[in-house]
Amino acid sequence: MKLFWLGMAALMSVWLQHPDQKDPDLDETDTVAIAKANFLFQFALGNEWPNQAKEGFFRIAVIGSPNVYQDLVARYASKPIGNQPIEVVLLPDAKIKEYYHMIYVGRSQDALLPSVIEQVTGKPTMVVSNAIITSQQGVIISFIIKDSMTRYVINAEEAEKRKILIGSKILSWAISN
Amino acid sequence: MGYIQLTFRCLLSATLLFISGLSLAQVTHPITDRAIVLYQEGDLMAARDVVLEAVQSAAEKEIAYAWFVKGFIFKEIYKQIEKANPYSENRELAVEAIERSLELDALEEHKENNLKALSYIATTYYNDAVKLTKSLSYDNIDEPIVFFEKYKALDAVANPGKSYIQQDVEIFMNLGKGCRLIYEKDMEQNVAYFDLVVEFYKKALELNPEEYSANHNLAINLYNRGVFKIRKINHNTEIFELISIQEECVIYFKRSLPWMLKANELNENREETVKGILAIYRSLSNEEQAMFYEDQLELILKNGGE
Repeated sequence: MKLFWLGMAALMSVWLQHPDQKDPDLDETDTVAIAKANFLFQFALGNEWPNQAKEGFFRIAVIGSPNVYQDLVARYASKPIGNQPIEVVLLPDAKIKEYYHMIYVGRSQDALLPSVIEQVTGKPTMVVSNAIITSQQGVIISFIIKDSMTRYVINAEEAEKRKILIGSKILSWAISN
Repeated sequence: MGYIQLTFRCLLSATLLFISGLSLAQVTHPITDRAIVLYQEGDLMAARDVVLEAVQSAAEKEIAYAWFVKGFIFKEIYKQIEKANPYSENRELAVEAIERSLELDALEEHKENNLKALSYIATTYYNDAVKLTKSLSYDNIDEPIVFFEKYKALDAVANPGKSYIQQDVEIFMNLGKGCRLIYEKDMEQNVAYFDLVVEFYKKALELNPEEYSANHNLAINLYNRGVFKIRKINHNTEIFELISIQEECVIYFKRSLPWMLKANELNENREETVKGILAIYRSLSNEEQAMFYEDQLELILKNGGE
């Protein structure tokens, strides 16, 4: 009798001996970075820069957000803005040595914003950040969180100062400040 | 494997001795006894024909012993020839014969051996159910449950009152995993299988809400579906689409969160769970909660993981 049940146990142990199909792995993709990178691409595509900025590369600098940088490079770097091929650069600090059409300052680097803004004063550079827009003169677009989603607000006055024309599509999907 | 073979050999010998004993003691079943002799001589197929003749004969068709021998011989055919075939007809016939023997066995002379044989067959159905969950396809999605129900029905005869809740939970979890594998082959086309993944895990959790793996895996599947949606974003995505995709993703992330929190409650401070909660809160842009769980994760990693 004992032997019989031992046999049964051995048979039943098939379940235990063979590990089940592997459990799912967490997809660790930075989803917020994907959304922000796409917004940045849309901003580049949907706004109008002055004529003097329409030559050469369309240059985007990212400060303090490697995931946004990587996503921009992976998904959009080969897509031109008008006739301008995109060039994306990840800056190690807030030293702006060249002209950029757009500079995105990641949330972790909010403290560098004043310095960035100061260095691009008077230039047709769209500064995009996560800071509260009213507290940061110089920022044209700021990401905000609405209903757990990434959206954005526009500082139209600042855009005008920098001679960047905000496109109607970009305006229409902006959240009122 | 060697152990299993040895065990079966012992079982077989014990059963043969039993049958031989019976055949000596009972002289009123000549056809059935002839089947036993043929079986002992190793001629399984001839034994099969003779035992079929026995249970159709006027003299032996109402004899529990004859049906028991039929069940035993058909079980042996399945075991020796058709073990790899989950659709073995001989196994089904063995079950029918054993059940008939149990019906006719008013004195319960063969009950113990009938139940042993039934338990063995029940276990083979169980194993087939498990094997099928590991190789699910479009065509056999319902089969594991069919086999599992057969197992339960037969096993319940041998083990009245036994609870199958944990085994039900396991089979549903395995079906969830199997469906995920199909879904992951083509996450656009096979989205119906994603719904089945969720359905099977929820069935498991209805039976046992405290099952850590079911909570964790359901959460991961829901979360990953949201991530999959957002990963589809590319240069052709318009702003309105981006917003609508985000809305969809947030729904998945929010659906995922309670299961992951429950998993964490059941198995506190496990690295994979805290990572999951952190990812969900980050994706929901809940910085405050994300920072809390980031600190938790750091602490866990500092203490050497789980």
